[in-house]
Amino acid sequence: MSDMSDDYDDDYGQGSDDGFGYESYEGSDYGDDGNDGFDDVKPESLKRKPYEIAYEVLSVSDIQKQQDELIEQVSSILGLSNENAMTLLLYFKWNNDRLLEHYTEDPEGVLKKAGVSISDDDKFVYEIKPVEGFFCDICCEDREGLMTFALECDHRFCAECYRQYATQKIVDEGESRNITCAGDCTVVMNDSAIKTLVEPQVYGRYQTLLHRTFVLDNEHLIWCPAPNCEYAVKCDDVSAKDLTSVVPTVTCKCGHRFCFGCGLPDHQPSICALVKKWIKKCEDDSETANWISAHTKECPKCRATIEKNGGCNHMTCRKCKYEFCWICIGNWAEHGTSWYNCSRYDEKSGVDARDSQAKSRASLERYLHYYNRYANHEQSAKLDQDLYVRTEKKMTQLQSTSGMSWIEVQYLAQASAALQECRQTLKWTYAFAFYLERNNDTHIFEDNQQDLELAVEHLSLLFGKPIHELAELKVQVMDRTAYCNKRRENLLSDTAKGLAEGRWKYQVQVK
Amino acid sequence: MATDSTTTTFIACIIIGFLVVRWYVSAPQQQIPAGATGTPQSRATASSTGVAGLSSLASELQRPRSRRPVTQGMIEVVQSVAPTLTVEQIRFDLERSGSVEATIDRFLAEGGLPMPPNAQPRAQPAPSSAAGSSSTPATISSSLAFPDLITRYHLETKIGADGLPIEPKLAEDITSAATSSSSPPPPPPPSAAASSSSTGASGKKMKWSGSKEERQAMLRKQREDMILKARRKLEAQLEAEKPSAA
Amino acid sequence: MYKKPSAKGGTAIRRLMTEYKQLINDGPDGISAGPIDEDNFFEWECLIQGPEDTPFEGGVFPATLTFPKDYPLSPPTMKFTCEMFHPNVYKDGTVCISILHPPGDDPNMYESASERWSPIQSVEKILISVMSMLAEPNDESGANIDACKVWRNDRAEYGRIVKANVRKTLGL
Repeated sequence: MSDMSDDYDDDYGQGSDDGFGYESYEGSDYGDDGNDGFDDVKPESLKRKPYEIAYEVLSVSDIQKQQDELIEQVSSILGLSNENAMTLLLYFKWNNDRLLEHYTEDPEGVLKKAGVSISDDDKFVYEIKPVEGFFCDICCEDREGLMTFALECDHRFCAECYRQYATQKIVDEGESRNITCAGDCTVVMNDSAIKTLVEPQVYGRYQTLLHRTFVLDNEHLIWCPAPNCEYAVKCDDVSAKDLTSVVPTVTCKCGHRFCFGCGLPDHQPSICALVKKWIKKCEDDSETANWISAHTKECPKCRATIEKNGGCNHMTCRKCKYEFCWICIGNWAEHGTSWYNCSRYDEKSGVDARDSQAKSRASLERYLHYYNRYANHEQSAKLDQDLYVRTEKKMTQLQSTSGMSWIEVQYLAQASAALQECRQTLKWTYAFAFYLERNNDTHIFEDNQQDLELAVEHLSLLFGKPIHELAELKVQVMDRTAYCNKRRENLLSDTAKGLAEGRWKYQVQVK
Repeated sequence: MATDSTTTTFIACIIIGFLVVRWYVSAPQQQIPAGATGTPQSRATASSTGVAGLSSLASELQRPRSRRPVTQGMIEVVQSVAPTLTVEQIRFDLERSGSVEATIDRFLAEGGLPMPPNAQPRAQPAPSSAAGSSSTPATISSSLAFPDLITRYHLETKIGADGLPIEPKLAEDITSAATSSSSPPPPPPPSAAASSSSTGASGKKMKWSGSKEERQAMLRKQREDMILKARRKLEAQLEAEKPSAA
Repeated sequence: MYKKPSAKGGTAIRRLMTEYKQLINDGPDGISAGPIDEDNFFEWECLIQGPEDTPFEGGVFPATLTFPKDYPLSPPTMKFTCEMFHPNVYKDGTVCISILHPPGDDPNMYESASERWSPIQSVEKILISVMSMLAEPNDESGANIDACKVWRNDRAEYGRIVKANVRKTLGL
């Protein structure tokens, strides 16, 4: 086992660089494949598991670079200036394939629609300058030496008005893609026109807006949904139509783990469509109504809702004092005293009513079975946040009581991280299983689920032990941690393969 | 049971509330037919209901000046019964009576309703163009917030009094235009051209002035000219239509 | 953080003054417009003649124009102060027409950007647009649903209502 622990040591060495104990788990592997997670750059691209996808985390400067590359590409193909290429790209929402297709069909029309004006002289220079005998149509100012500005269309206004106009568009309306000439034409103000005209702060805002639209418009880019995170994630292989066959989970540089498809926190192994359904179902109040219909009946006379709280089926409504049989809802007087042989049992109407009630109850029980387990893991995952804090305390305690070094106690941080991650996965296995059809594949899935659950509970048990015992249990904790991760990996790999093969059959429509 | 007593209290409240409102509304109604001219009444009827405390409140509401809320619906109901009445008449009477039934009763009894005192003196428009006004749909009286332009700009004295009286020739033009406009594609009335050119002429007469007062006066004049001209034209047109309709 | 684009001292007033002057000296026929009171240049009153060959013919319709402080960057609002039965005029008189909307309002701005508000539009252009709106209602962006229905289904009735309003507004 000692070489194993070395392996871990390596790992937290890397983790501490990030200042985030468990982040190094992502992409690093335990057990058989020997990838020690040292590869800082892109471990997942070296040896990707079936449930992992290739992606890239982009910073703002990366986005700018990507933008520039795209512009460069288009401008060289079409022989346009960079600014005009950019305006075209903005018009086509950064979809250069569509742009090239449309452009080759009808260059002039496309240019016109996108608001690009090709001036005769090769390079139009935007400048702010005074013009002899100028009268501004916006503010009606005509004093000597008034600074003016115009786009290629030569609709000239005083620079102050133009600046205000552009600033209003950018700051108030959040517009970046389609700021047209202040006059009555469709020529679009491009990057360099904006830069010449507005204040640096406003130009910065403009660029931020452009980046935002660049990411929002691009199918293969998504902003990290974590608060205040400025990274975007790029994933070229996944598009909306693939989301039934893959759960594209990514980890941002800020540490947030989320689904590329829907932006929700990591929900492997459940696919996005099922996650949406499940969340809706959980939020839906109709489940409460289901509970009521499954657990209560109405008094056949006064319609008061009655919950049976005793064993006897001879019910007396508290409100109207009507006496009836809980089983057949018939008048008790007609029953005599033989309620246990309710003579109306086979009557058609009674059967129907009971059938629907039984069905509703069965469906509810089934839902509650999955929901309770889902909620339990969710709750436990929340408790893990506290646990993690306590773990840190334990780690310092352990350092002082047992004389272990900081590096040596990191196994607890790793155990805690493994617990959180596995619980997150387990949680969603229940949502997934709820929608699965009963068949052999589902059995295998449930076996995997059970294994993982067992492993997690074992580790959890160990993890909660008092501090003085923990020091002696180090090897055991590490074993359990590794085992948990292994089980999780197995489960996710199998599910991911199943998704890719289309093996899973759902009880609901997921398209 | 607790629930039962609250329900009873609730229902009792509703009933009492209803009775109060009912009394409140019906008290003035009893009076209006008695004093159709709207002279101030003695308050005997109100106090005869026996609720001494409320009678003062009721008399508050019965002051001749007081206005009751008159809804659009109420006016429409009365108008459906009495299409010859103007909205102002109906509103005026409804404000006094506060009840649709009382107003309709009064209309049926007297064959009409008095004109509101502040109504502008004008030739009875309703009976004169009977065909037009009877087909006037209720929708046009949808909002009553806007006074007409004559009232708003106090042009009552200027109608036909000063300025350009309608020239006979122009009136003839209008007449011919009005009669010919009954054919489906109405040819542009010659009067329109004439009038627009004259508007143009009057517009050209205006010149920007340095003085604020002069500018305001000029704008006012322009406005009044426009309104008066339009009104005269329309008046002439309506006059011209009358014989052809009859 | 950013300087709000507010009109620099008096831009709006100067511009409104210029437009006023232009309207007085060389305004188009059938339109009268100017400040209600020159102490407040942001509230105008205007009169529009009903366009010919329409039910509005012969009518004169008063309206108020309310200008924002950052005029002409933002458009004014226009409200008829008479009864107006028209598909594109709300029941309270507010006019709904594309020239009074900034381009940002509409997701389909690519098509109609030229008909929308821009700083070089003017009171005169607004009033002329409103005149042509009276002549040709825009069925697609209805502001008064009742008027829309009547205009679409019963043109004769529409004409009758409009003519009644014309008479009413002129006190006849």
